[in-house]
Amino acid sequence: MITCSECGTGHYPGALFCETCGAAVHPAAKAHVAAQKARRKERLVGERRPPLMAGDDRGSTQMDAKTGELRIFVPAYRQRLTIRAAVINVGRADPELGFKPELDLTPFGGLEKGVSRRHATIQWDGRGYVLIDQHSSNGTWLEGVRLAVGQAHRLPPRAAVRFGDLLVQLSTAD
Amino acid sequence: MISQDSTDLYATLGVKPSATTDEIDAAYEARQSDAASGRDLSAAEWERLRYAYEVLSDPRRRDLYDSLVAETAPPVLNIDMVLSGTRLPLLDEPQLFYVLATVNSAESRAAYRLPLNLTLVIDRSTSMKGERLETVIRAVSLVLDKLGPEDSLAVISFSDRAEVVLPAHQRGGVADTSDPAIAIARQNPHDRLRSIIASGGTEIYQGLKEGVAQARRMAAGRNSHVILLTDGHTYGDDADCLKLAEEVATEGIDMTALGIGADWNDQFLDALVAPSGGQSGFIEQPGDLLPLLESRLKGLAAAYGRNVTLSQNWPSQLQLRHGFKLSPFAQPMILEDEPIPLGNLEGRAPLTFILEFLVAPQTIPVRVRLPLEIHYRVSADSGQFLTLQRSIQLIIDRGETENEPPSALIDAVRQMNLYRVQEQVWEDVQSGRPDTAADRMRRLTTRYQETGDLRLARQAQLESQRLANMGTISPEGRKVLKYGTRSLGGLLDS
Repeated sequence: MITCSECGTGHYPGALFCETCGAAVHPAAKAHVAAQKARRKERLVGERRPPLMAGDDRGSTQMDAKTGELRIFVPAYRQRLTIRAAVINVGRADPELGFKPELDLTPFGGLEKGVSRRHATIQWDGRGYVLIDQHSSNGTWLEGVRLAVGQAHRLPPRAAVRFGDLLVQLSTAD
Repeated sequence: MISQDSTDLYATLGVKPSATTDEIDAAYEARQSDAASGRDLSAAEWERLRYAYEVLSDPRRRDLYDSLVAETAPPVLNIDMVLSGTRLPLLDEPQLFYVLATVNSAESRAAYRLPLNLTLVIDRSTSMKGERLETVIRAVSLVLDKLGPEDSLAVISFSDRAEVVLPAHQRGGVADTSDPAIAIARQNPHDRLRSIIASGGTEIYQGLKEGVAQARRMAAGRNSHVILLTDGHTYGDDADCLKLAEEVATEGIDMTALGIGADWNDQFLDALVAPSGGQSGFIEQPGDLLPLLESRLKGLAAAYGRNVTLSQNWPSQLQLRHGFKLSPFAQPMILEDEPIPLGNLEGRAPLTFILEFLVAPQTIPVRVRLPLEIHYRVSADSGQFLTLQRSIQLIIDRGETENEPPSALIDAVRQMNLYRVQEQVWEDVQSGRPDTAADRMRRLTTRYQETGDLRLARQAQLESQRLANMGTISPEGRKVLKYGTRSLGGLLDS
């Protein structure tokens, strides 16, 4: 018999979850639930930070010194760029509106590849960069997964990101 | 009788692929005594028979043969099995283990697309008056335009009696038919739908009986499906409805039952769809209906396997305790049935289910062969059931047993378990244990917080307070939690 640490019910060995209260009882199940909770917490932390828009200089001065370097590689054009900023807007420049994103994908066929003007933002949150889709028409894809609009997703050290149909490789270095 | 197919050793011996060693021995002996009683077998036939027996009576050679057969002759469907562990410890007490099974269509095969024979049975009792009925009619009107010219449709409305709104008819047939009702149905179905007026009580059997009668008329050469939409308790005809549901399931007509609002009997609708392995669902807001209907239709349009069932031929050491279907839609499995109905393999979504087994205490190390055998039809019009079998070996011994259950399996068990705990609350309430129910509901609040479903967490918290104060839960809360927990699978992020 194994005992549920939450409600004290006894279970047969091999049980994954408690039949009385639903809590995880098997070490693997406990680890699974804890890991999922941690992942969600991380995402919620990102969500609470309001997406910063271009021209909004909240934070940019105080965080500049601490932000990491974001390296960008556009495979189709064999182009490498490096940007260091608290907020990196990703999109296409619109001279009429006077909008110029930090990462302007116009030179890489952004228009034909379905990149929106305000497509996504990459923000430094103190520990690393997070990627947020800004209601883009054709979506932002992190490692093949389409991101929910407005939600912050932490960028791994190396990541393949698709803005619309344009594939970009991002890597972060301290 | 010796099979024509010389490559199938099971057929050669005249046993099922699921046959036990004893059955194989018996079959071989029977063949020998056949020969002794004067039935002549040629030398080649004897050779084949002996070879079949040699292979199948040796577990190791048999397993190899099974795996080779599985590889060389890809079935239309595949089963994948994931176990919580393939090696279990030798224990003097019972232990649990889990199997996550996924039935997929072999990728190269296209879906066997038969026209759809859809029958909608719509509740028009007084309580449906207003927005509910209007939304239902709007949704049905939209669905109607999505049917192909080969598909057939019937719409029945019922209160305490049934009315055929649109008789079963092929959508794309010529307009000038001899049957005026069908002519109207083809020319102006939307007007007919709008003529439905809400009034009267709810007698589901009336509607269902007429719906089934209409469905039967167009069943030949089509995949038949009856969708019931209701918002109330039926009036004293539950038993008739369930009997009818049993009956149509054997004819290959599937059933979906959707409850609107909070005042319908979820256990009854669950029981109604159980024989065909269909879906029961909760329409909380009228606006939820159209997406649900559309997703049902999409699934029905491309069925890779119909009337899938799981045979319960478990080895003596194992007892199946619980089963839960996770995909294409979540639904508890009815273990009392043999075989267990699993519904259809629809569209691109695999058919996934989780099984929980209790292993009897073992005193000596054993190897247990666990067979999963499913039967299915390629289409509703084929009377023949195909069999697909996959087995997995379980070792129970004193060796290393550090099993790491895969996370997909953990998620599946978690969902099944949460559903059961949530059902347990209802049982507590009904058996007059409100305190136990309140305590359980409080713990469920924490569980829903863990899965990240804050809406269910809030509802559970509300209901636990209601239980503590009034000793009951609200009918709405009951349904939000029950059907919300069922569909949790989509929300668990991996």
